[in-house]
Amino acid sequence: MTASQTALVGVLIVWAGVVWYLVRIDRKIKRGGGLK
Amino acid sequence: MLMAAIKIAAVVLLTGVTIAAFLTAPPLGGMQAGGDASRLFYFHVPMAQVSFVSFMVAAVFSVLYLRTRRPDHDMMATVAAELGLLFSIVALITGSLWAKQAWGAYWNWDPRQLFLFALVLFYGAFFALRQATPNLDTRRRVSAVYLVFGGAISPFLFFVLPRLYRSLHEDANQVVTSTQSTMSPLVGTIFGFSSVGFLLLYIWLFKLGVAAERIEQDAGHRTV
Amino acid sequence: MRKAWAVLRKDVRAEYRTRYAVNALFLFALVTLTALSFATGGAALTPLLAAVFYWVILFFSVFASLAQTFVKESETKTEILLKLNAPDDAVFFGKWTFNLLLVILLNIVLTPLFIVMLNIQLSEWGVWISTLLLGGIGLVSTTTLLGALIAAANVRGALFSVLAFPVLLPLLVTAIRVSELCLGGSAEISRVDAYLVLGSYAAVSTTAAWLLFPFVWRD
Repeated sequence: MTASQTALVGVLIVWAGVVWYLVRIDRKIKRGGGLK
Repeated sequence: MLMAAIKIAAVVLLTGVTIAAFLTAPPLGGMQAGGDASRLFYFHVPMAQVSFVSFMVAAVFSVLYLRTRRPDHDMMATVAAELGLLFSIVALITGSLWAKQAWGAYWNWDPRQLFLFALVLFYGAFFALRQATPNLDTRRRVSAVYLVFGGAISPFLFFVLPRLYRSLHEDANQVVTSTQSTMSPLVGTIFGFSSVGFLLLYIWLFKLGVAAERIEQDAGHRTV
Repeated sequence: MRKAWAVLRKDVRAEYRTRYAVNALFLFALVTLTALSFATGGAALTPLLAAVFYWVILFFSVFASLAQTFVKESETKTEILLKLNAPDDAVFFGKWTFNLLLVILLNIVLTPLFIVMLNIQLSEWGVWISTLLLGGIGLVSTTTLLGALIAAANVRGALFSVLAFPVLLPLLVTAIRVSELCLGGSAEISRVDAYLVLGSYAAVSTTAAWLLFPFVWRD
């Protein structure tokens, strides 16, 4: 991997982490019966 | 409203930082610091900072829980721990990727890498402890105690490890510390925005996490 | 204070009768040390490696035995008696002192064996001993609190290592570095720095453990 690719992959991982957490939140809300 | 302002600010700052990170010159000059990969500086360091902040937040809520015994406090400590784990893992990965470019290896026994790794272990141990304790009250109590104890010790990881390794031939560490003191104003500004942006993002995610946890618990389910 | 002494005496006496913890401690240390010396086959160890070996043996011996001091209480059903008869502080410091004595004893036995079996040169005895002492205090405080924690949570002993390792990491790293000095290694760390770190770690961990113990001990 070149240095530039590394930078892009890194940002992608940050992005993926946030998305993962949001999905997790979404699942919790669904399990709880959805937003009121 | 404050929360709305925080959300907007987080989005604006982080978008701006990402654009700036790729449009400006790499923050740490020279191949020695990984060239283009050093752009990760704007992401990796703030995330590491936030993961440490999260640890402190979790420890504070744990202290609150021990004093008030309100399940809410334990819940908030757990949410903070979840986020802390997430942020420290991402920080560790981005840091290792950057390290591979700059220092030639993914893992270098650099004190900062060690600190992040220890944080991940801490959080992991916290969740392992919770998983292994069936009784709910006991679970809350012991995990709170563990987090507070860890919180008391963590400054050692954060401040002491770098001190110890200063005399080591860790060029990497010297590069980071010396460049940080000679950071160009532009780099400094972007970094500052990024630190604030990630902190605001953390606050937003924390509120979301707590709200989701409440909704789930109100319905009678429970994950942790 | 008197009660702490009583707790200590009870533990020492019980231990003398069964020798459970002591056996586990010394046996583990001896076995590990022997295995290591076979593995290196008489080849010379670098000072760093030797320091690492010593502290790892010490740590894991402690994990294998001292972590159980509270589990023993719940197993032998003496836990309730203890809770009724002694204030929390007494229980904590009684156990703490017991653990510390064991660790000191272990070091007294381990150091000579270590020197002999692995062909080690030990200069700077003063630094070596004070490191063992300061490091030992931090180790014991952490072990006592976390041992009580896993007993209260009724979890398997394996979890103890998972919990203890992140907490003890700064101690381990510092102790190894300064021990390396005593074994002839290069001065990667200044002695003053090491004493500061080990000393403050000992102070912080002991205070925190003492303050948090009641929350673990009492429902």
